[in-house]
Amino acid sequence: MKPPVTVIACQMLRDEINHVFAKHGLSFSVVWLESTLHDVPEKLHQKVKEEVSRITGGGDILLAMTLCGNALLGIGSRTSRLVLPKFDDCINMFLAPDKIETGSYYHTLSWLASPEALHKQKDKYVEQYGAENAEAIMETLLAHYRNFVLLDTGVHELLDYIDDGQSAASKLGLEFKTVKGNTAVLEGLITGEWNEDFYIIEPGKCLTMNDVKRTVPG
Amino acid sequence: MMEEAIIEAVFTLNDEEVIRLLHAALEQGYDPIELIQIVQQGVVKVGEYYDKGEYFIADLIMSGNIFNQVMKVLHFDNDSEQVIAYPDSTTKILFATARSDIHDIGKNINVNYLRARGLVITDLGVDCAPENVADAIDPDAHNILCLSCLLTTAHGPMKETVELLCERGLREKTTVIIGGQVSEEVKSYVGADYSGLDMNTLYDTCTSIIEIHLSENKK
Repeated sequence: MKPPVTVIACQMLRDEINHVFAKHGLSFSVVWLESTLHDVPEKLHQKVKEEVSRITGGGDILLAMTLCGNALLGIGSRTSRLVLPKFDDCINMFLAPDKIETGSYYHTLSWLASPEALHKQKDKYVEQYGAENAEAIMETLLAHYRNFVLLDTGVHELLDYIDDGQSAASKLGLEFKTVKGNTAVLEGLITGEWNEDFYIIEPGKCLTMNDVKRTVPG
Repeated sequence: MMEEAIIEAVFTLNDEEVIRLLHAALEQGYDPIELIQIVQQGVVKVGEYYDKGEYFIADLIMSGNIFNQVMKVLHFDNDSEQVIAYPDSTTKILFATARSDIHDIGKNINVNYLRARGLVITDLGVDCAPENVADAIDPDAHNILCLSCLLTTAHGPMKETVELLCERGLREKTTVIIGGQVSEEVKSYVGADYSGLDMNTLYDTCTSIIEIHLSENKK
């Protein structure tokens, strides 16, 4: 009998992953990682390393995340094969490259609803530093962004989020847009259809810069 | 004590208190240059806490804003000779984000921080093509080029920039420091000299290079 597969996943992809499980009648054991780890790649790296080292049964480990600011570089397991989508960040994973616009700030619907969403951070800054300073901080954070884009991965009802998205965009002084993405890469990861969009890291090896430089899609 | 109070107000990011204390200090006869130096100590402390992970990006931006307010109150701009740490320096410090990357928060924070500590910076902005960066390098000076990126896809353009410096014979005149989402591996790939320095180490590295070239020029 094959040893069980484990998924190590970013919390922010919970709805998408559960959607893929339901669609394909699968249910692997999942280790959920806090989405705020994404803000500090060193911490994310450490946490993924820790979780990978806990899994010793030899079953495949599916990393449901992306390179995330190089946090995944150097990750490997002595006993398991690791599979990781070959993308720079989650937005690239959900959207075709020709749909990604420079100057657009993307939120998945899960991200929009989370306490870490940028428009909610702004409220914290107002409380901490006053309205004028909060405005100046946001101007710095969003200096080169024009659009606030709600990325619909197809697992939620987009209409339920439009009002919140519009209000978030207006709070940040950005133009509101929506874009349709898909979960094809996550489906490939979970169903074992590992094509050229995935790194497959054999036991005893780890992901290196050379792997990344040869392969990251533009 | 006035000094400690100002440092503490900067450190706790209380802009109104900083400005109130500055006016009081000016009335007591404090020299504006001395006040800038006191405020800089507060900014350094904020930087140290950020490097330790106890302060966050918004706090750093806020400390930069406070410093800029202080400069206005004291009627200085960032290039006022009185506040420049090395007025005789022949080293040019340039900052840019690499082509394809518009994420400049890290760059701006470092630019503000180094300016707040008296270094003169040329900020080339975001999404800088290798040709534009190479054009800005001063062939008659030593240069410190700080390239930053958030996206993995900007590593290629960073490498191209360094290669172009080599082609134009400018590499030996330029110390290349990369920051943002980088690592030792990225440093080797790009061909940079330093990577991922925290703000205070970056300041120390720049000032060491400036001092080396100052002493060489004196010889």
